[in-house]
Amino acid sequence: MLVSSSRQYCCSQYWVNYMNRRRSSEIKLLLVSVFILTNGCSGSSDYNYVNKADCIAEWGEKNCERNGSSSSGGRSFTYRDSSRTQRLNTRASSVRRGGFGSSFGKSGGRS
Amino acid sequence: MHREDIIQRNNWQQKMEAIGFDFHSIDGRYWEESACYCFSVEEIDMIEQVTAELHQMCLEAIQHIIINKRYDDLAIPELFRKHIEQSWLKQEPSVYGRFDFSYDGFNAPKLLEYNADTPTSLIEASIAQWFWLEEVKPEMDQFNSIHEKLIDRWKKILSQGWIREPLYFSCVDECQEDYSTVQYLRDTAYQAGILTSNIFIEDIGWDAFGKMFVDLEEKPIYSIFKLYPWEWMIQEEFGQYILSNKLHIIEPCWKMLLSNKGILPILWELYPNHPNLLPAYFNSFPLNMPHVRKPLLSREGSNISIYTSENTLTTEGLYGSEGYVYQAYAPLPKFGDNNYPVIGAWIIGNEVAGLGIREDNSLITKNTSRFIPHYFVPKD
Repeated sequence: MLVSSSRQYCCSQYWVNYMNRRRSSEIKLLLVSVFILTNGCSGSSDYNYVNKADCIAEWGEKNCERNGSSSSGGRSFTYRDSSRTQRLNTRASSVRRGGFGSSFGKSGGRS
Repeated sequence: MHREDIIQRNNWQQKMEAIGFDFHSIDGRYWEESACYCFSVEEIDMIEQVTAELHQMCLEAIQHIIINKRYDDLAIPELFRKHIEQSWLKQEPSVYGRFDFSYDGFNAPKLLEYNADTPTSLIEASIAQWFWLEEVKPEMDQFNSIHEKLIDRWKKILSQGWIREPLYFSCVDECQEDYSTVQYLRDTAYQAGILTSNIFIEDIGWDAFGKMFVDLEEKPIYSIFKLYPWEWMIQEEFGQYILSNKLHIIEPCWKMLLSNKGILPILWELYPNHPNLLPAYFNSFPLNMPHVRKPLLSREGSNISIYTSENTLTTEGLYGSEGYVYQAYAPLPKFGDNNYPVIGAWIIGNEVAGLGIREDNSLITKNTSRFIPHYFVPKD
């Protein structure tokens, strides 16, 4: 009985300490790990996703293609950046681009 | 508070890359885990309390600036003053900010500046040092609930109807650090249930016919998070369109008042002799004592000058034409041979969420300064 109550105290104290922790209890990343494995922000041309829905949500269905064969376990989807360049170059519309971003370079924008 | 030399993990680079922290060695050595800082619970409690108080003081200061039209002091363009006021009156939500302190473990922390618009070192503070702690010192604790507070903050902003999905996440196309930071923030928004998308700041389009900002598919952009300074946006070609458009931007426009170094003398006017503030003034420093000159809009330690009786220490850069503030000099504490840390305390929404430490071998913290993890000893 004594052992039991001692253990109980020990465990409940542990639980109190655990619950009072000031750090996040867990950290999950759902998008980042997929992006970062293959993409930088400089010179990257492809963007990989683990599921097609995420790729389509970002770039549209026609721009997402499956990587690898299903027999080899390939199940990621890639948006190919060349279509971005193509869109920018071929669309004739009332849309202009490049009106933001010119200040970057004189210094970083981070703080 | 003290600094410990410790053994770094094998393969720490791969471990960092696996969580999206792929700029760990930018400019040589950026993430530094051969050392860490240790705090007591009391010190952590005090930093939290000070940060919360300063956050409230900053919100009061915004009210003061708007009521008293202090825009000239902050070099805010006339065209955008009403927009700032509307943003504040509508209580457009903020996601995050970071207060930087000089703190030595003995004296009261002194506010150096508030990075309210485009704070970085977020991945480092939120997840890199958390995973480090889990592996290296799991029995210890860390002042860091940034990750879950970010998710909670996005949920609240979404539930209050501020976001018209998809929420776009934007930064410049040529910076690894910014891109990774934005992708991390996007991840937290995604986990909050927000439909998100991605667009580089240079790719944002303006549809002159529809009078709206558009993405690469020419779909309207209604809500956007930008890791790009407000003061840059408003002076660029498309800046004028922000005024006539219903685009909702995070961080909100009123953050321009807090990220401006002019907030420092205004805080000192409103709260003279506050223990966590340094004397600060516009135009010149009236007392014959060591002081620092900071451009109103300087970032990453650019164009900072420290004047002491012995010498003057200056960093280069292209800021300063907008004017300066002058702040009493609070030397960063020195730990070990030549390590000068700055304490960065994070605010998520209106809550204090954790801290991160940047360290340099000089007295001025710059974009190349190292990030050092921390822990504190939990109470029994």
